[in-house]
Amino acid sequence: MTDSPYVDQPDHAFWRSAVAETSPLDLQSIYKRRWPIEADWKIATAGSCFAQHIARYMKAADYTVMDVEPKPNGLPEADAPRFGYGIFSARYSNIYTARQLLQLVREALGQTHPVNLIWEKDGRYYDSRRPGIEPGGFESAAELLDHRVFQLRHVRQMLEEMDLLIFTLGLTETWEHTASGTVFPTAPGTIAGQFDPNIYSFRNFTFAEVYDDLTTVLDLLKAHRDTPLKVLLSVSPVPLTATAEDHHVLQSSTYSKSVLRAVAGQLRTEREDVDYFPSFEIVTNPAARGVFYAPNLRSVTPAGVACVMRSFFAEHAGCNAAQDPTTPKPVTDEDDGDDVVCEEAMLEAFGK
Amino acid sequence: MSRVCIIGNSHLGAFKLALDAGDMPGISDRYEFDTFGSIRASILQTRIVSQRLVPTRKDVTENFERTSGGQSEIDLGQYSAFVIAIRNSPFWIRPFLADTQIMPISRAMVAAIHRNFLDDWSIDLTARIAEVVPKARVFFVGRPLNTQKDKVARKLLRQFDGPDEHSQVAIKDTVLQYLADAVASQPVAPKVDLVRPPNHLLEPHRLFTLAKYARGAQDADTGLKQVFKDDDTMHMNGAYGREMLTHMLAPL
Repeated sequence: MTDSPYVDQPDHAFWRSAVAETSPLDLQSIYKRRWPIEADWKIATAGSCFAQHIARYMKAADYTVMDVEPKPNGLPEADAPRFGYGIFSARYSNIYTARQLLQLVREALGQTHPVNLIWEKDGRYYDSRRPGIEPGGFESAAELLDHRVFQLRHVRQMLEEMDLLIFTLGLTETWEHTASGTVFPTAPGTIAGQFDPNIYSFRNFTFAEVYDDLTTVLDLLKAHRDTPLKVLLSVSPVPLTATAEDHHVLQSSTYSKSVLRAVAGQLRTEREDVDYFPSFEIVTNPAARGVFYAPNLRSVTPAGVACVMRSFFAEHAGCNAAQDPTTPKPVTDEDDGDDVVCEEAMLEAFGK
Repeated sequence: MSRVCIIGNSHLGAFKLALDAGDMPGISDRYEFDTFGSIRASILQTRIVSQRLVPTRKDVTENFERTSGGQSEIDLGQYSAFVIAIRNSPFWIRPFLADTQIMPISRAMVAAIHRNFLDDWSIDLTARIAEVVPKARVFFVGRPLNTQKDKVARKLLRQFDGPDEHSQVAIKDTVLQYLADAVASQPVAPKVDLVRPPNHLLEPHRLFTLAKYARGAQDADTGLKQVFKDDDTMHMNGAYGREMLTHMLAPL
């Protein structure tokens, strides 16, 4: 007979000591980095709304966060996010699903040509892959294509040059162009386009599909690049605004996050070049009793983001020695948690 | 004779040289000119009091006296036209580039960039002058567009010679059209013109001043005693000043 196999487990392995009796602001050992992020690494960021926070903090800590598609010099900083600039490493806006990421990578590498790219509304033209980047739409289809060609050239540059991709998984639910399988960040008809059930259909990706999509992305990049690439995955703690399933939204949200979390874990287990950062767990920690969520119980408060990033910087100390990266400098009292650009929130305008 | 007041910083030099040369048919015989200069952005240190532009700092007063022949304030009411040559030109391409790269920009973005330009104190000063002298035409020229030998110019113009030449040129032409539309649709005030240098002063892409207009440019900040360095791509000569004055005033 031997003692229980749990006897030698550290404190953080036990719910009572690690969660129930620990301040949610001070979770120890919830994240152990797999590899350091070197100061000279070029870092690309992409993903759902929550990834915008990570990008801002990393910039503030003087990491080399790529911006391959910067705003025009004279566009005021305050106007830049409205046009999709400065949010992620290129002007691709939110990438909620693994399929969206795969689609972008394939298009940027010249492996696919876009189908159902242009949506119209009131005589204006919208890029269906990123309908929110031009608030009033483009003047013409030709102008939209100019912007798209410009973007793809720069995304390709990003994919070739980045040393680390930080990708935050957001959703499993999406709308697709049924004939081609093209997916979109918003349902047709939300910002632009028209919803036609004969053309578009709802998809809710399974574990296998998300896993296959991300694996394909990683394999494509590996085949295309000469240098090693690291990938840091996280899962957005922001719940679904709405579900298209015939389920309670809480059930759908739990499904979506569970699948994404499981895929991230699976990939971390299988691949040395993949790490997982538990932003989802930090924010949804029951010990926090929802305090990290804004009154809408979706948006993460500045305090919640700061708490997440403290755990991150505890393992990745940041490049700026003069500035304590655990101090939430980029976030001011004026931030209310809704300042991130999130097309998904557009759905609220259609909510009951 | 109508009186014209030219207000500027170091870029006043081009106009002063033109006036000194006196070689402006249709201009010299119709207009009398006064010039008022003060270095860099120091003209910000002024206020309008009863139709007079009054410096609020001693160095600006001294600069006005030195560049106008003894006048320490500008009696705005006596002029029928103003030429304002301070700060940036609204037609300078740099704000519409990504660093030095041409990029597609939508009409809405161009409008936002131009709105930001209009928020500058120099435009506010221009609008206030127009407000207190409503009968006068007010020409805001900003500083000249840098010449084609400027570092940004050389990098940008090279892009128009590359393999993407056609689309890059088309994108540039679209930006210029949107900018012209933005200027037209966001007027500063009645009788205020944001003046784009005429095409014959510019290289073929209409973004930069021809290099020949920078030769021999003199610095108004030093009382026209100092000739700018040979590689100065920002300050223009008397020929440029003459062409600009003719462009603005001849049609009046």
